[in-house]
Amino acid sequence: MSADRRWTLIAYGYGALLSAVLGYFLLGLVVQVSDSFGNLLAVQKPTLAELLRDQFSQRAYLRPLLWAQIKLVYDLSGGQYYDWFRGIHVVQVVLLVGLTVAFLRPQRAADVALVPLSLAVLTGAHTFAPMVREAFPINSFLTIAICVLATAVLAARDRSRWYTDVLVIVMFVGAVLTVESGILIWVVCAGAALLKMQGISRRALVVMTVALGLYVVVRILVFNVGTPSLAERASGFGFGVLEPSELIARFEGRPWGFYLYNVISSFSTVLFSEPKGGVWRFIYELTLGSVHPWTAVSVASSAAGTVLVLRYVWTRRQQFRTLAFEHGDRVVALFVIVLAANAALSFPYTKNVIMGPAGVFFAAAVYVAARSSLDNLAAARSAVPIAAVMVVLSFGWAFREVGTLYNLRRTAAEQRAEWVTVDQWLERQRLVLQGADARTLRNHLQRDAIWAHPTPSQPTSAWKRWFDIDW
Amino acid sequence: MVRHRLVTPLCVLAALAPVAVTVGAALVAAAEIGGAHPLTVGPPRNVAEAIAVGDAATAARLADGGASVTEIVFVRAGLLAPQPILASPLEVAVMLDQAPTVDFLLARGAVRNEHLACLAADVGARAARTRVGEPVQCRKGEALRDVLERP
Repeated sequence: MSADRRWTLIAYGYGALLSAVLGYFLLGLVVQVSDSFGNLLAVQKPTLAELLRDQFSQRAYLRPLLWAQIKLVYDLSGGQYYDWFRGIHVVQVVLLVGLTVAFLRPQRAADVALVPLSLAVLTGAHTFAPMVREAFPINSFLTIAICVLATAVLAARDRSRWYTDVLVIVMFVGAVLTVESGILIWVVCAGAALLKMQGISRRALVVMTVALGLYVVVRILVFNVGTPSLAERASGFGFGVLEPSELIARFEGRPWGFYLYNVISSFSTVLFSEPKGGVWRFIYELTLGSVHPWTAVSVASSAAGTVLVLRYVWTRRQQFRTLAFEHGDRVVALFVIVLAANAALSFPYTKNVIMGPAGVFFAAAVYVAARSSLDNLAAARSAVPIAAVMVVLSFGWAFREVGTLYNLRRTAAEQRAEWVTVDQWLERQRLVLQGADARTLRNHLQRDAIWAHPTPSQPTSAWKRWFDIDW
Repeated sequence: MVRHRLVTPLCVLAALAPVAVTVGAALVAAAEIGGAHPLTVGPPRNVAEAIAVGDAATAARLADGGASVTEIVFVRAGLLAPQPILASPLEVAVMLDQAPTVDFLLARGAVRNEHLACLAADVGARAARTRVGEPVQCRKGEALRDVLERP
């Protein structure tokens, strides 16, 4: 075995260890009440065909395959809901981590040393936490992040193959009909073509472009789906959260200011962890003179990563100008492209989880920038600033990785607590369990949450001081 | 040349903290699978402890298994406060302002009284106050002190 291959295997080995840890904490969660139980009730009675047909008459969202996936897994599970839905979540995380390592292409010892940092940036991000903390009961945002990253990995291959083209087209169609941000797959393919990446053929890009045009036309002109209105949901704005009625009062008739705010917020949240969910928490805490450790570490670690990436772009400006790209340049360029498109697609409302794909590419860009900084240390004016940034990155993102694990452990208790009072929740949602099947499902999931899979041990109050914050 | 020699230590530095976290978490997971509970105090020992760590499901399971929902019990240090305390499940739920848990305990036979209303006022538990009622006559801070200094 060559030395390069050995180092690559070590990198995958580390990814496997991290996946196993995340998988263990993920299995501590259960099928949740909010966003999951209601969805399972909705897919219980209708056939797959009825479910798909109903989705084409919805307003604001066109997500037929999201419901089809839930229905298929629900039917296939044969009543083993915990095993199937939690198992799928673990498989999703394994895929995401594995694809991230593949995208990084670590080959030398120095590369492998930076893989843990990159995976900490991936898993410690506030855009990642909701992809593992929540499920509906399949986390569709995580599905999209996996598909977008898989497309980038395929695009980075030396040449295209017919089967990879087919795979990318299938992923694109499937992802777009699951969640709107599936469009990012086309964005990655188009970006890859601009960056002269060879892994996806021009023919496949043409097919996807036609499919995208068709999707837009059908969505707007045939099904008249539209976009989410201001009344759809509460949204972060400035230092607080505006309820739909407040959003309407402030922006009705001129929503462009709100949309622009959302796009800028989405951009900034990936680069600086500020704002989160549209709320400028760090600045607000600064004005109070009391910054929570979690907020400070989040902003500092993200800013350190952004500084490193900007420095990389500056040092490689000649290559960018002459389009003489290496793999690392393409990774960073794809990050910029995905960030811009992801932020633009978030215009109706801003949520951390929506920026998940950009967060994944940020982890890869930080890896490339860190590797380049260390490789070119001898040419730098001073090693001290780079060493300082590496310290902030390493310890900051490790702290955030702990935060994600803490978050998963606390969520395990919170989700189960919802099952204790599920009947009150049904009342609040004005949901009536119709028929024996619905009651059986409630009893089954409640038994799973409270008796079959007891809550994992909870962190003591000493941990709360550092990590217990509204994410 | 000196700077070049810094590359390896800086690579190690970059890897150090994330690897330590992942390996540490893997060891915690392995220990938990083996029945130990490092970094936590382990499973709650009674209904009050379960509520103190925000684990209403375990509180419900323990109550279903016959554990008392009214008895004053020992809550270990680090769960509700830095020091160990003696409290009833309802007192803990009020102190943490867990209104759904208060509902659950009341439905299971716990009894609301003036002491709980005063306790809710002392800790500023707005949601719990709607469940245990407004206090009629209480001295500010006394109900909380009674719980924290219970012999």
